[in-house]
Amino acid sequence: MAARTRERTLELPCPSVRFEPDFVRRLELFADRIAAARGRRESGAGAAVAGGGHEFVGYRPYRAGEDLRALDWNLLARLDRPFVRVTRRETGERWLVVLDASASMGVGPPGKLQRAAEVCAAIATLALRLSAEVTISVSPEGGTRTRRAIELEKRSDLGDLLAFLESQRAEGGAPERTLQSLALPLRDASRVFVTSDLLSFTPADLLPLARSGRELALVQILAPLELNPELDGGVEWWEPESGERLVLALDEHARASYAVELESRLAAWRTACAERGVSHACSSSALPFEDVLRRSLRGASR
Amino acid sequence: MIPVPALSLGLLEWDRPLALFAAIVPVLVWILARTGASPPRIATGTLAIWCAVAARMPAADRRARARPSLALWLAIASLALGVIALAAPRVPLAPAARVWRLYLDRRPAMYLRDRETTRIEHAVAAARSWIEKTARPDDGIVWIDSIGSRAETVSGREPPAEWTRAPRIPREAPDWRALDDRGAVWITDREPEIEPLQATLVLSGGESVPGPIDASGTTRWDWDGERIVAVPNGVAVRRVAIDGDLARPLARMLEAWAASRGLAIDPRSSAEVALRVRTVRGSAVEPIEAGRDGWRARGEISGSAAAADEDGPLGTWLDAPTGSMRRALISRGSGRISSAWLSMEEPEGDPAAFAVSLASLFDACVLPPPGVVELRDRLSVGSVAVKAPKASSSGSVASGGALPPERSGSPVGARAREPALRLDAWFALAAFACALLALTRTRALRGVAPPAVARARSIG
Repeated sequence: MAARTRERTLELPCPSVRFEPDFVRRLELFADRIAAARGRRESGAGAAVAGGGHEFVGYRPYRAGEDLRALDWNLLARLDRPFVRVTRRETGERWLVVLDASASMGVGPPGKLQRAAEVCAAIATLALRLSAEVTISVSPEGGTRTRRAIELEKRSDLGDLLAFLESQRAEGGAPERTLQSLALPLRDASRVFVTSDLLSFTPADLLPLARSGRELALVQILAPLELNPELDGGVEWWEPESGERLVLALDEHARASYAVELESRLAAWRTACAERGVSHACSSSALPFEDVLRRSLRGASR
Repeated sequence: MIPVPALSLGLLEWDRPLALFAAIVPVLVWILARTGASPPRIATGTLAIWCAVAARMPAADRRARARPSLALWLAIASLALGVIALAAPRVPLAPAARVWRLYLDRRPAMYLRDRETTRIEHAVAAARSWIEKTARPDDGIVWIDSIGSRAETVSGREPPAEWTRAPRIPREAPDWRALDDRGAVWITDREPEIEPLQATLVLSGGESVPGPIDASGTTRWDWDGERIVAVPNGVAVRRVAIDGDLARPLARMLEAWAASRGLAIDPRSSAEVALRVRTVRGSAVEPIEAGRDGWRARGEISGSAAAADEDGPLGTWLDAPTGSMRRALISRGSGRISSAWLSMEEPEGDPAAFAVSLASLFDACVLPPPGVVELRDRLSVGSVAVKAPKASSSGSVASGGALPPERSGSPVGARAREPALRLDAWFALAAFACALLALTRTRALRGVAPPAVARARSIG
């Protein structure tokens, strides 16, 4: 029988965040490239940033899966081809970036929390480059965490952001969380980014964040060991949030069953997000943050 | 630290066999891994998925015994290989062939019977026992009956049975000085006059054996253990045989000597004789002039005196230069004399010198009556003993100094220096490689992404 037990005294493999010395340079470079793409309305990478605002700047062809509310019905009637209205964001726009720092984000290597923090920093840098205000909110509350949010208005605040992110540790959380449990400072946020492994949520928990005038992007990050467990023989799996453990004999069949089950759960996220026009992309924590974010922005453009 | 000899196990030889006891370490690790060790504990956020997978698996498949990981197997292999390397295995390339040469003293004294056994039987038994303990199974053993410069050799663990019986012609002691080398074993009854530097000495010892010690005419002189007593008519008249025409001065001296010693000249005697004098007949006759001991004579010779006959080699007693080489004119051995002189003029110089010189020759060659052994040989010579050569520093015979040289030409001594393919370095290298691989696998699980993980698979 598979043994399922509880123990909370185990140590996480990658619980903390540490930025490399050249990380700021990489952030600036990444933000420059995305901002440059902003001008190219049809650019996949810049579309997410350029779309969904208030100031009309033009049209672009409709892509399957996009929110039909963005469709210009008049143009469709005249040209018999679907086009989407593209608007420029106005200054004073506010972005909210949610960093999931629950215990399960300490899984790795490479650590999911590390990569999620890098993604958050990159989004914040991009927001400041686009003259938007940005709030970084860390979830869940409690533990050693004394400060759970930081607001940024100018690029000089970037140092504070990095220090704030480096102070985070993967801890706390529960296997099943709700939107209310996140206690997000949504206020008038026009864009919400959630960087998480999404393993404690269901689509119904988070997708309500997307509504008219607010775009939602889900940046899902999983560890290589979770995406493709190349292990053989007996393994004792340990869930950091619940403390539950499961001793299981891994073989090719078990790994194949796992892959099918994981894929079905990811597919459920993809389908639900596509239906609500929410950007979603699942990436490995082994990918550099630039690739993770590029994939997420590309997903948002569809 | 107590030195432990090399051990032969299977096809390998182990220079440090005690290190093999360390093999218990990888065995214990393996047993612990099989029984008590828990599987690796890995944090994951997808436990719910694994639980779902486990729920669908057959009960028997859900929890297999915690199998040791590949890293652990590699670590065990590393330990095992390291132990093997420590034990210093090697493959002997060719069996080291050594030859022990056992020189047997066959003097009359060796055949003196001490109660039930002769001294030579005692000595051979002692030598055989010692060689059984000392020689390796693949060593060669050669028994040698050294007869002057000639030697009769027989291979095997035992000498020929006939060597334990007294030879027809009494032997002199071997020339020990010429036989002193590594692997030589001198088998005799007492310590020889020279001390061996490299040869091992096997002594039979023996108690005193009373008996005949000399004979003169028909009178025999016996030693009864305390005194020497004369035994009139104790021996038969001994005979001197002459084969061929002996040069006249030589024949005259032989007759005079035989008469004084109580021996009878019997030119046609074919029975056992005390002395046989032969004249060699070659194809060409040459004039010659030769001498010694203060006399000199001219005459004619035909060929050379015999260098050996059916009873063994003969030593040159008189020779002369002919051309660029010296030619033997008279040679002699125990019980026989060979002469190349066809004719000889009366010797020049002092006639007495000629007589004394030839009498010495005849006395040295004439055989004693059967059973006569010199008094000094009949005295007690101690007990059986095996003595290491002088060159053996430790005093132990088998410690190295007495070992025979290898046939391959490699140095004599410890077995570690025998030609062999050493494997310890290769095993150490394999152990290091396994340890490195084990470490890599461990790091992959604990925090450093291995190449397989670095190839990130993305789903989105």
